[in-house]
Amino acid sequence: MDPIRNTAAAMPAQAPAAAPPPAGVEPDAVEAGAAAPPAAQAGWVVSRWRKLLVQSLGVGLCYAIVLVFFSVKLDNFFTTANVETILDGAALLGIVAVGQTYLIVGGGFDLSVGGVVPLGAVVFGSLLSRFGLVPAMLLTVAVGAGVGLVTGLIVTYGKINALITTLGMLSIAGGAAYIVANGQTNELTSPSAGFWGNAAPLGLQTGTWAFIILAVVGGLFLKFSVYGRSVYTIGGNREAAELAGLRVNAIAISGYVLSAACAAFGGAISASQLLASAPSIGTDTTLNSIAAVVLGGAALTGGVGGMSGTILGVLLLGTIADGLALLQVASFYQTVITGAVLLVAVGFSRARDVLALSSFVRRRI
Amino acid sequence: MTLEVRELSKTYGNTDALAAVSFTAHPGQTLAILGQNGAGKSTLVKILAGVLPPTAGSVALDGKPMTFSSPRDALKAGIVLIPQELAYLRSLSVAENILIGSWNGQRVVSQRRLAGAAAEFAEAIGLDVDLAEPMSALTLAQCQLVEIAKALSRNARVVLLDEPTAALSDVEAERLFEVLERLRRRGVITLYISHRLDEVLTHTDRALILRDGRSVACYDTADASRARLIGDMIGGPTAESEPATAAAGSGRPSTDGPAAAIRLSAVSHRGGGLADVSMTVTAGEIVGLFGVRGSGHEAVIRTLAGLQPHDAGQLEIGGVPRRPLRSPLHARKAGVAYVPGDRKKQGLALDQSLRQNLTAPQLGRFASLGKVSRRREQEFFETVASRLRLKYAASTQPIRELSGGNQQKILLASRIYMQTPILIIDEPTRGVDVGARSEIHALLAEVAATGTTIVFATSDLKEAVSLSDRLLVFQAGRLVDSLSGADKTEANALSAAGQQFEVR
Repeated sequence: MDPIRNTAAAMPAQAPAAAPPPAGVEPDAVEAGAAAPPAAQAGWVVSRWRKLLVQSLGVGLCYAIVLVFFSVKLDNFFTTANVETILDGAALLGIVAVGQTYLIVGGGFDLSVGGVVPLGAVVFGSLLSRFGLVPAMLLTVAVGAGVGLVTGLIVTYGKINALITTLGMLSIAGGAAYIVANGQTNELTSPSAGFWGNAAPLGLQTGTWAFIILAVVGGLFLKFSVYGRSVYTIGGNREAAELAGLRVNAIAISGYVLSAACAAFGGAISASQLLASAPSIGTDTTLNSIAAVVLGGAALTGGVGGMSGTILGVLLLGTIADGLALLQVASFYQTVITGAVLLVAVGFSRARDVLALSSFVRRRI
Repeated sequence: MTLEVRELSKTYGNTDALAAVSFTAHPGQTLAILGQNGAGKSTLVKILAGVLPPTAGSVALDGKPMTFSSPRDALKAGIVLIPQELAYLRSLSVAENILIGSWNGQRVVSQRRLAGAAAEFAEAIGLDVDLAEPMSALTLAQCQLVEIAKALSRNARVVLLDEPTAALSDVEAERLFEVLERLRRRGVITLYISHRLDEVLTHTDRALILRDGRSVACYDTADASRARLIGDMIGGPTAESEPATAAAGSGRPSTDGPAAAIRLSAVSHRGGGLADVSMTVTAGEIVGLFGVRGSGHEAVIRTLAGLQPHDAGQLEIGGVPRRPLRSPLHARKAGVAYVPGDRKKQGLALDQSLRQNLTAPQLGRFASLGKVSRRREQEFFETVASRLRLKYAASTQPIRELSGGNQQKILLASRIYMQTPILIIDEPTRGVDVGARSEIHALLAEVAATGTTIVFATSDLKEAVSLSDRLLVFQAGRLVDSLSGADKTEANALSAAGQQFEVR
């Protein structure tokens, strides 16, 4: 039908001697070798691994320092029980960060999660006794998705800046949480209330497994699905994606829906784990989720990053929180330290870029 | 002031980006630097401007050797680079942009005094704009002139221009040459990269031709011809392939009962960008749109690409009446793929891989059960790469690293292989070297031969004439002439477009 394709297919022998790159490469994989001839393939594969190593240096190095520090300071740090505590404690942030990753990779971000998480928690709390666990969960997630839909519509069609819109929604959803809860902490008394806090395989809580499954599925979907790859394209150059005829608006809106749905889901899980719903649950997830994604190597300009990095970032933040709690450091110091770690880790990766660049230049001259 | 370049080299690993290039330029001389993409032109000017350190060699100004540690040093010595992509401060005034950094020695910046000081430089090059206007109000061509005024304010003695005319219309380019003539009279040396050979022949004194990093020739342009320049750039016998492409296009057997792929009837835009335009394009035809900037040809492109829906008139695609196309997605559903004119800003995600850029518009094609198959993407990439003779290191390298010609090939392929019946192309080969350009022209002729309809707009007169089967000329929002066959000449196109200057 198209002779160009046919002629091309008929001469595979002329294809450059390019070995197919290893599977599982990020679509945004950055390769240092400048336009060298295809013959430079072997060296290129080696430098790819080096690059990968260098890329995880920032968060990896920080994580290593943090682990060494805590294991020296604490006898009971590397115990099964404590690792379980870290993972269980990271479930809420992890679930929120999964949604946030989609938005940041797509070139956006969502500040409203810190309001949607508590809203999800109190909505779940008030619906649970009336409707039972499963309907309450579904309705909670639907409420979250609804908030995300409004955010998405305002940003794409209202053309109001995402920072302002999600900041506004943060305030609205956070305030709504107080209204729904009447400003109070409510105990969850329904028999199924503690479902997400129940013990599940490997000593982890059900809610933690929800995070793990969501992260794996969400990660694979981001990396391999047409939708996920389109998110990368839009993050890489939104105007180009639009001119190519991609459904840019639909994908952007769905990102906000996904993020807010994850946040509400996380809020419900958190309430279930605590056996109480309060409008103060998870108000810190806005900055922490963005911090986790950025720690994981994503660029706020979009198009770069991935779920595995986000998970590493979530675990790093969770480990710090856990270690500091064990050291009985007051929680307000935690916020300071978390902020410092974020800056140090991102600073490492900047230094790494500079180092990689200068060694690249040296090698070339 | 004489610029002497001796044995200048730049090595990356074991490739020579620049190998022992030497030349001398005298005051008031205009030197064209020619060569295919990757020949070393940009490397040369970047070294001179202190952006890149050389591996070996020396540069002397008036016998005084120069050191190259930073662009700042080069500026101090009076060497100014005006890059292809201008960097200026959009929200500041024209005067502030001209005097940026020095602020004319003022401590407290007074806009009025600044404008007064900037006026001297603006007048010197005949830049006629309100100096208090913000930069964002200027056209690209005017911004370039501001850059030149800025260079003068810094006492530039050598001005390096990297493809200054690539994004200019012919009228604007002509204007730029007048300014360069003024620089020449002031004794400024101009080094000038261009792919437009006619320009070079008319407006420069000497041509330095680079090939694979080596200088292969340097002679007075008065002694040169287009064929000689191309011959030296390519390094083979001078078979200029552009006319051949056009011949291949028109020599195609015409389909019986030519179906109208696109029909516009009395299409207008309310703002006046397009007035009562009626035109028909048959399937498999390559139609060029030409005119002075803003005369309506761009508006036709935008209408068909879904960027500016028309307000009045009828649009038919493939014989089916269509409502005004409201978005590129809408246009795509109607069977129109669009190749934007600014490939870096509108066409590609520069930090993403070659493969990703190629497949992004139609990922669904490589997916089964929603999972995109890397293997199938890679196979497709390799097929396209060999078909288009792409020069690259790996399909996963960021597209930023490729030359303009190779980037353009990938952008075009990403739309051609969508296999829509209609292809709308804004500037098919802007900023692309001669070799890649004739390859792209041949490719488009082949695509059209399969029945795909191609409509393109270009600011390059030569391309307008050689690539098109039929050339539609616009003036003040109206379609004023349709040229084909023997009438389709550069002279006719220019006179129809209402341009005043002589044919070069």
